[in-house]
Amino acid sequence: MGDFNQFFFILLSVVILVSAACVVLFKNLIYSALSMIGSFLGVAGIYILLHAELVAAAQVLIYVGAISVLVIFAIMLTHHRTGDLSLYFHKQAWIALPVCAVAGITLMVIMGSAAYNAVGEAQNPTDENIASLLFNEYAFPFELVSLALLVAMIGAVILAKKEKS
Amino acid sequence: MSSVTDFLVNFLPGFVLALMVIILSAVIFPFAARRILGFMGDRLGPNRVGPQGLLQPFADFLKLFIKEDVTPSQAHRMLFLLAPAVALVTPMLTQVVIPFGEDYTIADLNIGLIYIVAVGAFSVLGMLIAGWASNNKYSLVGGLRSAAQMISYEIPLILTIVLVAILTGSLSLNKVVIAQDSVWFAAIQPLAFIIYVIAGVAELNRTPFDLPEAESELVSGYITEYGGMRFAFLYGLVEWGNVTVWAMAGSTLFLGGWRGPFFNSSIWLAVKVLAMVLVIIWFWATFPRLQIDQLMAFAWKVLIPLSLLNLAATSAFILIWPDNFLLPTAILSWALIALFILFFPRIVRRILLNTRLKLLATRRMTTVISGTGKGGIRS
Repeated sequence: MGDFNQFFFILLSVVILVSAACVVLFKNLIYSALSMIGSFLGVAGIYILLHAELVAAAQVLIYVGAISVLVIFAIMLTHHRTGDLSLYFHKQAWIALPVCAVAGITLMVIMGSAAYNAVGEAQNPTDENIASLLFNEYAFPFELVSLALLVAMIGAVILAKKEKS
Repeated sequence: MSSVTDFLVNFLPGFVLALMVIILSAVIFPFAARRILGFMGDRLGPNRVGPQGLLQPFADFLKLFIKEDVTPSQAHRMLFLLAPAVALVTPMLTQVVIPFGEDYTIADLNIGLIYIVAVGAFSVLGMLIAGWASNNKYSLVGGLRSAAQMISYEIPLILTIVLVAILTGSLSLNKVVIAQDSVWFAAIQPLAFIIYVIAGVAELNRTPFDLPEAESELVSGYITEYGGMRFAFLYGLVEWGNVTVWAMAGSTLFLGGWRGPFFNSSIWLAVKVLAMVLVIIWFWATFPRLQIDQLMAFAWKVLIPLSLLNLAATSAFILIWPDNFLLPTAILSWALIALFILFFPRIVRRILLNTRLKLLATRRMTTVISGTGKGGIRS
């Protein structure tokens, strides 16, 4: 079983990294958006390998079903042209480089530390655990988040209405 | 290595079964739809090839397969070829969690209900990619319309699925079937079932919600540029496969799945699926197409409030009577549906009357102001 998981882990990692690179490297925005979906799906696969099926399903539902579709929608509805240079020759690349370097080094340090490597056993099934935590211990933040989403939705409706009149 | 063989042994039969279901539905349902539409329209339908025209689907497929495979010169070739494959993911993968019989599910996931909703995302994606890659205004508008429509109608659909999860107390589809041991959920929650059917018809882009494929304005929506084999793939496998999978999920969620009178077998599942598809074809022959504003208004002003009300009331009843909540929820749902049938047509009639009166008034005003009218709307 171990080899099998290892094989899929490497496969998924390659998918995630290659498609994440493609998001930045493609000149066409639609291609970038589609490779972003590939990256999201790869992450969902990693969740499945970790026996977190609920998180994987949520990942597909929210990131592939909602966010990516929204991004593609926005690209299709707006008039766009293919850029002459891809994004990595952009001026902002020079700002992004040190930021990415700092973030990457920080992540490596954290992941190398002993506290991070002491991973607990995978709990199965996860949905009941998540539900009981969400509605008992973290009920207040959960409700707060839903309130924030409601406010965002009302704000979006008001903005869209203003434009018409 | 044994895990690899385990994987293959589990994977291959499921894969073949799912593919066979989709291919069978692509062979049977388009032909059945044409014959039934013919019958309902007092016409004959295709009855020339073979006895009662039964060989018609094979003739159609032969014709489509030997056609030249054309890719439009201005299309984005890679995405144009990729889109049908992406769209096929939904009908194939949804069947993974559906219990085919008493002891056969391809994989009984404990998050089955969420999984069904999550996998549905791929068909939206496939339509959007197909519409965009065709580089054709009809395809693009069709793809965008279908995506907008599917996103709107997904909300009432998900709310009814949540209701089923609450009634069952589990997200596994096998447990959903077991929970319907004594009585179907369609009898306990007829409102949820009807909302599931309406939202499903909208999600599948079938009449009366077939605006994405409105042939008089959009040719065939996102399928316009596809021909030959690819048309057969998109129209047959993807569209009708989605219909079949929707019917399978519906009969599992609300009609007791493979359970039935006298004996339990997957034959009952097939019978229920055929019945639900027949309902879709019946709608096709009966209803005229809606306008886009009516479509959106119906989703946001009618279906979503109704299903939210139903969901809230049912959860409250389950909290009040945790042991025997079936009877109160059933009474509530039937009452809601009776109220809906009694008052909804009246409300719609009043709204229509008001808009017509307003329209009449404004037309008279404009004709008076511009002086071009010759007696307004009456002439």
